[in-house]
Amino acid sequence: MNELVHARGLVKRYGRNRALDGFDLSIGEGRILGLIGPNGAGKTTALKALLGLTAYEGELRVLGLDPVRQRQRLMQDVCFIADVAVLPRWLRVNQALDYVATVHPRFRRERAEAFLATTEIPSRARVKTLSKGMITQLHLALIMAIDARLLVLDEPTLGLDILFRKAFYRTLLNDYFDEHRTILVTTHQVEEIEYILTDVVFIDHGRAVLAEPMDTLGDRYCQLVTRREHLEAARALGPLREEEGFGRHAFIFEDVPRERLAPLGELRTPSISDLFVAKVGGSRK
Amino acid sequence: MNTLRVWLMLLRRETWEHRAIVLAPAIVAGLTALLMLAGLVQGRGLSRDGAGLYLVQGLGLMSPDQREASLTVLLTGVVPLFALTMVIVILFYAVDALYSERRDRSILFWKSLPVTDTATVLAKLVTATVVIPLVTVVFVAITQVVTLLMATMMVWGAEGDAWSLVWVPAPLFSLWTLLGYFMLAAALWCAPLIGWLLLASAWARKAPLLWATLPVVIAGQLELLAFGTTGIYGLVGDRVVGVFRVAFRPDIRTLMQVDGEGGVQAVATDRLLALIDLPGLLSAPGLWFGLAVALVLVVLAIFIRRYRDES
Repeated sequence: MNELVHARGLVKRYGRNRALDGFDLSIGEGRILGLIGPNGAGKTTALKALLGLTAYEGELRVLGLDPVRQRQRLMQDVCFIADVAVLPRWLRVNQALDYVATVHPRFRRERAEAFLATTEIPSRARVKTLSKGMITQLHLALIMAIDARLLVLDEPTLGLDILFRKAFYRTLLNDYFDEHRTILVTTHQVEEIEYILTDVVFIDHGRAVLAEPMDTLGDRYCQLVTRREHLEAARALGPLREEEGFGRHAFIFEDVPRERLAPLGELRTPSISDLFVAKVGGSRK
Repeated sequence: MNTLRVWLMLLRRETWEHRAIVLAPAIVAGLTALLMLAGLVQGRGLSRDGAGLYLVQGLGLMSPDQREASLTVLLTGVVPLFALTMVIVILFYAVDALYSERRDRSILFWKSLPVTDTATVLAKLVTATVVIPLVTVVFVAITQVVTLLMATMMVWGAEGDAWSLVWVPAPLFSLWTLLGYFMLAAALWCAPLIGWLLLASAWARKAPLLWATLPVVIAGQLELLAFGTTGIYGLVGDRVVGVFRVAFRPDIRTLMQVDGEGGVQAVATDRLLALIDLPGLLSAPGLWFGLAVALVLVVLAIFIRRYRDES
């Protein structure tokens, strides 16, 4: 597997505060990795380091390049949406196309225009006259038309309604993603992107506390739903977390063989959000 | 070739965002034309015995040299208003150039594209020092042609020969050469001021105009209080108006000189261009010192845009 992002022991200090504290990350080509963490966990800082927007300590290569020193070279192959509100308000849609088409050697204008034709965005409208959802669509149209190897999305659907969010990820998956493209995405709305991810990384206090491919997640993590009579037996196996509701108890286990859990109740692979609460929630009461 | 296309795009982007670059001189040109038109109507310029008659008689009596001098004075009359407008546009442009993209957070969009910080900042420097003056020169030229067209109508109204009275003696190309030279010289001479404005624009988290002006005022006032001298103010002032001193021969004032009887002193075309003192400009230590200072300030601005963490 071709490793596009390689980070080992990244540290970023803001004064005495460590936004990144030994952060590791590895992303292979053709993967969609979700970087998930609570507010202030270091998600955005990690992305900024990757994109050469901030200095850091530690080992970091993105597409084999040093993101700070080879930033311009990197930006030919990496795209990012940092925030929904980031397109300037004075910019017109056709100006945005003209500009990116001229400065970006890998931009395919007809692709952006084809996508925009499916939206209700007028071609000469200024960004300030567009709705928040339309601005995101415009931004998505711009970056999807770039033949980038790595796409970085930082909370791309923040503040959008559910219809736009669904459409955003559907477009991304159907019209953009293929085996040569790699996507790194952070979001709060884990449930909505769970089905598109191939890998998941949890970040907390500036460290990666979990990094797994989705298809092996079930091998290491297991959710057990059980009844009262097996409570003590389940607790003895050292669960990450225990939850109670409607007279049933749900436990999440890490690295406990399924055959030991199976007699105690019903087993399933935990959802990302349950797992997230189990792994990260414990440290943040 | 491709680099040129990218550069032209970077400059166009500045005119999209800062529409005053084109709008401000266009408005001044429009108002000037309107005023002239009003004067024309007021003075019944198009009728046989209107103001045009004085024009035809006055110009007819002059020697060719005097005629040319009169038209030079007439045509340069519009320049100060445009120059003042330009100074204001440059001031507000330069102070906003590296600030607005951080205020509206669009900097992360610009930075997501493969354009270096150096190219971005230099494009803004070129906009302030070359593009804005060039646009201004174009509108000055348009206004001068409009002025001559109005004069032509007046002369025609009085049944005079506009070609020989107005167009032949009007030294348009010498004037435009002089103006272009002046703009370029001024841009080079004022470069440290513009560099300073860009640095303030890159540096300020709020109120970049204040950051640009307050330190200078404070330093100037401290100097005044401590030593009773105005060296700092003098230095800044010289960067604003000193270009006349270094880039032109001192007899530039003869352009405007009026002799005892109220007639205008002759200034021939070759003398108009002879006002240009290119060796004087290039040999002025102040020019090179100023450019060195500008270089440092611009490099600092690039450095800030490149490495400042916007969180």
